[in-house]
Amino acid sequence: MNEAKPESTPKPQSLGGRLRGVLSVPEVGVLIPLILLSLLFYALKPVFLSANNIAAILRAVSFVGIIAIGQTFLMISGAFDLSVGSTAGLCAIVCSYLMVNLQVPPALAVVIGVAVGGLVGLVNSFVVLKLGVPAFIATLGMLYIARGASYLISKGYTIYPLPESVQTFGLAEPLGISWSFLILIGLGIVADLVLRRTVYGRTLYATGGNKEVARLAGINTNLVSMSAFVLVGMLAGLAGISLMARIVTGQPQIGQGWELNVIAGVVIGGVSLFGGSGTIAGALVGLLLMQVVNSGLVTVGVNPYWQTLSVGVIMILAVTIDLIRRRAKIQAS
Amino acid sequence: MESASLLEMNHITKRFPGVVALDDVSFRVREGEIHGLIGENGAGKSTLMKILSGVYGADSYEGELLLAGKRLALRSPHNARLAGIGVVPQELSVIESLTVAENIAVGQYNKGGPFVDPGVLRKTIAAFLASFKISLDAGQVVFRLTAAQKQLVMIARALYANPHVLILDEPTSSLSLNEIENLFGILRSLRARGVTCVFITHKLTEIEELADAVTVLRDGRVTGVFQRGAFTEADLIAAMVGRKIENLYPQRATPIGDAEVLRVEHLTVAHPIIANRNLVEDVSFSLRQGEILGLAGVVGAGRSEVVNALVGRLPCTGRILVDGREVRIHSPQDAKRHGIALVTEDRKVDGLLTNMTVRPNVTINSLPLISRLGILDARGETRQAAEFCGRLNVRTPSLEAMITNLSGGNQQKVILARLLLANPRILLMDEPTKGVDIGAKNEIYRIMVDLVSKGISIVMISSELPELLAMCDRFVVLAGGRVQDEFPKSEASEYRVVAAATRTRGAGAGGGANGRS
Repeated sequence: MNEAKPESTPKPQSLGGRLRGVLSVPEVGVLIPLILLSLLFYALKPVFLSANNIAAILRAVSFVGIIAIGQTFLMISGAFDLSVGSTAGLCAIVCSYLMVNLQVPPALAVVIGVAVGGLVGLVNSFVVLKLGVPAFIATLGMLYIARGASYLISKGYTIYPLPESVQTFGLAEPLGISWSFLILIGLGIVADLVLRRTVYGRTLYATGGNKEVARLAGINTNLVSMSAFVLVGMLAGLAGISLMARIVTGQPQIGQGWELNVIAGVVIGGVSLFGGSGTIAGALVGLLLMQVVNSGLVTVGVNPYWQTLSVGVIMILAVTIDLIRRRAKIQAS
Repeated sequence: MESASLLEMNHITKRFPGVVALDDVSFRVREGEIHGLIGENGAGKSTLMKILSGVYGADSYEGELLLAGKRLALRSPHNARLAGIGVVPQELSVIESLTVAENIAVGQYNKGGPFVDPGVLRKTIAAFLASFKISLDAGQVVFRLTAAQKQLVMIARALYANPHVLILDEPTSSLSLNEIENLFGILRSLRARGVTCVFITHKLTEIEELADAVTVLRDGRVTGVFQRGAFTEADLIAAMVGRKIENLYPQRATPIGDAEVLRVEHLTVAHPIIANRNLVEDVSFSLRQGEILGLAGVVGAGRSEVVNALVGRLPCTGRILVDGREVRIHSPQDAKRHGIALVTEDRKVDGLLTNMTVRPNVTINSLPLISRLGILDARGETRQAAEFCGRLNVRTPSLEAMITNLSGGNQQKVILARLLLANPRILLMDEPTKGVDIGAKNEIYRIMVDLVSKGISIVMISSELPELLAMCDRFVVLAGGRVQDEFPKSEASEYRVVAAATRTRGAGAGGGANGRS
């Protein structure tokens, strides 16, 4: 048994084949509409691609983007978390409460705030994995619990004034953008390497791809899922605290509606809702696409209500395109 | 021409982009016969049937289709049904929540206007079933039925439309031995009533037992048409694979070792839902080094439950000894640590990482081997995957091809490569050749013989008795979750296996907890 072995040398491809190869890279499916839309908005209002506007878009995308990294991990492992927005709010409130009311040093307050996010994720994973509650219900419940908790802690008021150092950090604009954007880029690169190059990344894909296969491979799938829940909780906390620093107040409304923005963006970016596939690059480009549409419609001067509507249309459109692309890929090979 | 053909397909050519799926195929079925259509996976059987059942419309292929002398131009499956072609597809497609009667009449309720009277429907269907001697309760809800009974529902549904010709696409793939016998009985009685059947299969024994005539397809061409009594098994195999498979069942050249590698004592697996009932009860057996042990029995006898309990997927009681030392196996991780690996029964359900390529599918059980400090070694991974794919002769365009694009046989070899890369000592194989063509079966048998010569021990489960009898050194027959018989190859016979496997059927099988046999 040794005649036919798998060929490892790539065959020279036709132009069509190469084009199809490029199109089958998942991120390209989102990159093309991203570029086309940017050009369209630019044509309508050249100010859209001004340095200021680009920086504003990147600043805006960075908070949700940080969460999207965790959400991508979790979705690849086969679950998702609807409570991220509320978790972000709760962590921001806890952090600002510690600094303002208890005079905890900012660095420690941030660490505790992020830890609270991790704790929320731990509770989510317990309810989903041990109690067997579907992730949709468990994290929807947590969405209300965390939001309620942040209102209870803040009694509904905005918490301020935050320490000087927080203001300096939040309002700083390194590279003309913001620290949170740089954090996003740093985390994104690390996360991408983790997913593609590490054993942990591979176990995430395996767990989401087929839990039974992963279990039979000796992978502790519950531990893998749990880690992803905790990670997304911590990153939600980090995102909430980043926004808190930017607006230099602890508001209990921080993060409202983020959960759906995150999931919409990540799904647009080709991360499967059913687990087992997706990339960080795709997820971030998907989020960017949504932000470009939002911001572009504002720049062009479209009625703000159309923005909400357009997000829905784009999401359905993007997933439809993705489905068609996948079908084409299977037939082609 | 001896007798008139009821169904004729003349010079059918069907092209897909880049592939000729059917090349000038002619297929004739005489009235009242059971006509076998046999061929390996990918030979074109399904394509031919999709043309016949209207899935591929009349303008998508070349050639002509005649039924009772009339030319048909089918446009849809509905069209085909109206024309008198009844199809029983391979996959069970029943509506679990409806009754047998509703499932059979589905799509044909409206004989009396928009309202359905369940009482009348049930009586009509009961009479219909009785007329065909099919023993199903028309009022029973389908989810309570066994796979075999659901298969009968599907056949009855096709018959209910009163077709000229009934097409059965691999109807036995999910049935156990005596269920197959029962199905064959029904098909024979249909033949006696003059119903014409096309019976698609890749099992030679079924053709020999049932078919009046057989057409063999290979690579989209007809490579043989035989009448009953005018062919041997060797003729069929030669027509199917285009070459002679010298010995379908290779035999071991090395002796079985002396060491007892695995010993199972009083293994009991409780029913997950029903209290006081056991799926496996008090099962004991042992396995020597380099031995192939066959677990025989009908589907549902507890065979799969035994091997799944041994890899920690099902909670069980009893003792498991590896190399004479008692081990505790609570999870697949534990089993893996003790060198026990499982080839699962249904690779689509729990065998493949379907949205990944070949490479990670091979290496997923051996991540420590291809990484250092948690970082994957891409080159090492590719090397290991290539080596094991080569060793098991996996045919794939590349290691980066999607696993789903491989044939069933090659997918199964990828799963074997995955398990072997992790270096197991005991291999549990649950239906390792299910849905695999005969060439790949032969390769899998060769791999098994090669493994045992290297000292790996195998427990094999198979519903195909000939392969089980040929491949195993010793047999343990289960029925109703209990061991009914155990014997070495020298005493094995089909009769002895079937006798033991059916010993407690009916009376004892349901209540495995009481009544020792």
